Amino acid sequence: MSSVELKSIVKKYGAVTAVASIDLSVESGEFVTLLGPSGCGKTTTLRMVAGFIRPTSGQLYVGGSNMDGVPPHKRKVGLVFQNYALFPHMSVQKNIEFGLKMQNTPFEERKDKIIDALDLVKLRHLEHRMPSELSGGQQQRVALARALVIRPDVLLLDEPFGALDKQLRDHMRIELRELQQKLKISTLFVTHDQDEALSMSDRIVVMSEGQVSQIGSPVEIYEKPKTRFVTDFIGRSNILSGKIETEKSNKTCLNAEGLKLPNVSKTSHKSESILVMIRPECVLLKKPNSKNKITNYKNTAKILSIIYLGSIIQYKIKVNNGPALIVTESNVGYSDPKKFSLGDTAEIIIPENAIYLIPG
Amino acid sequence: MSLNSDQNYGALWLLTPTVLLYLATFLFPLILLGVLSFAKFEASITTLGFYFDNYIKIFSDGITLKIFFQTVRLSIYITFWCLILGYPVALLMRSCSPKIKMILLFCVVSPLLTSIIVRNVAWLLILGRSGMINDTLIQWELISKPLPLMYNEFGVILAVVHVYLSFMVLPLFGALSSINSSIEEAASSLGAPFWRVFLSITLPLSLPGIMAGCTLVFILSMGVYLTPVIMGGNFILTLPMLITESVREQYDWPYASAMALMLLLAIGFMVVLSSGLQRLVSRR
Repeated sequence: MSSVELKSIVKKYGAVTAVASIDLSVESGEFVTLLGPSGCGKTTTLRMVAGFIRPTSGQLYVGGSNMDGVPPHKRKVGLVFQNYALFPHMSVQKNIEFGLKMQNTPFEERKDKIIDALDLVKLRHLEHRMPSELSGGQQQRVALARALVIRPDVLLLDEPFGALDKQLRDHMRIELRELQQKLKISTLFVTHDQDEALSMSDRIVVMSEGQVSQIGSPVEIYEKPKTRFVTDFIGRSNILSGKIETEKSNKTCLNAEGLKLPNVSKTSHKSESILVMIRPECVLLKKPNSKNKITNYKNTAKILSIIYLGSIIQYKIKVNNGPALIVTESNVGYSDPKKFSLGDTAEIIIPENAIYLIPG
Repeated sequence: MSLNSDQNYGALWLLTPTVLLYLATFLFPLILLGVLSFAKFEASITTLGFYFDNYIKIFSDGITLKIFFQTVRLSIYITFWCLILGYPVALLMRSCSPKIKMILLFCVVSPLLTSIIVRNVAWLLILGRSGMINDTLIQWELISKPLPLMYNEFGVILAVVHVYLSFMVLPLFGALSSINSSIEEAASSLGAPFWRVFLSITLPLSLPGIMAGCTLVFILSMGVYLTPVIMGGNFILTLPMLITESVREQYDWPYASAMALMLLLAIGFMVVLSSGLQRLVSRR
């Protein structure tokens, strides 16, 4: 049974469509991320699940029951906000206790559950503190404990790490995912941060302008994007328009704005114009004259710019008679870090499996 | 600090007109008031000195103390009704669109923009013996005798609440606006119905606004003069009326000064009490 199910959910504000027909289900124990730029309708979708926004049309199920006309307080959802939204006038313990009180949990049971919840987020020692006496990360953990203690059908997280600094964010990411897997709680996570989405999710729903662009596992989303939008939004990529051409040897090849590539499409329709995606990290740069037999498609390029980013070095290159590309190489300390300098000529190798054709 | 001390002093001198004005119109009269309140007034002659006659009179003549407490009671009623009527308005102002917010704000502040005489005459036309309400009700034969809508406590409270509502609504609106709505949403998602969210979250978090509004309205109500005079006829007596009367009818400045100081002390006590309470609440 799925924990959350959206069937052609639409939300319109007058003439403006915030969410245009979303179909989505979060299976029991699954971690699903709504990923997209701001204004894509991801938060609106989450708020519809929580019950703060009423869908214009469509069906919404939480824990198997239809949520039409069910107010937020009668839905069993645990909600965590970006700004934590702790009750500032209540201690940590009282914050966590609030939901239990609303469920009329007996006092003794409440005490045990609060302790369990505090242990879960490793904050037992801060039980009597006020929210204003906690750091951002601690506040977010209290918010998480408060949402989890009521045993919701689904945990809804609205950019929960947006207000934390980078190190803490990375840390919380791992902690939350571990917690989620331990409790096997169905989770709907909203973020605009692709690193968060890729590292935590079972499935990612990429949204754009109120519509679902693609639903898939992190690997599918990153390596096999189905639309131009997903390709652009996830990771950095080189997108070129390509054409199938026939060479002298009667073999077909892919001409991407002048860059000759092997034909990976398996078709030979010449007129077709296709989008070719090449991830920057998949392109290899070699010194010219270095011997290699990986491919017949030899292209040379000139280094236009070099950006040193620590763990990686990012080059901008211009392929001879072809397009400009972004290429990244991991900075392996023992190889010559200054392999190339500005203006150098390099030989570029693009493995066949690094070339991806965007459908549509 | 990037400013050097010379510049600081230069800026301070700009305060001179304000300081002089305050000294002349506030501090000096206040000192005069203090001195006069210990003077003796006998046979229309004021003798300066250190006499407690006026204070003894306040506590022993039976009427002054009674009127003082009546003033306090009236002020509490006014404050209470301002709070009860103002809170929903502030809540509404917080949740509605900016345009409607502006309209509501204008409505709330509009009594302050109207001349006090015009306002009270308008009330006369509405509440009077042959005013709009009584006329209509008699015409419809719902009542046979005019209802006593003014020249009593009801009329005074209604008219004062009307003006002072804005002093309640504005601080309340400020306090309510500063509550992040996601806090209330969090409570609601944890299973709290709307009334529970209000009682457990919204109300306690708006307490600073309640305190500020109540203190403000109470202080103003303690000193309100003209509206009770018009709306109360001679039936409602307040301390400010007594003070005025003492000066204008009996020329008894010393006694008026003592009563004025007492009023000032009562208000000061309220301010201290409310700020103390507020500190207590925010520390919790």
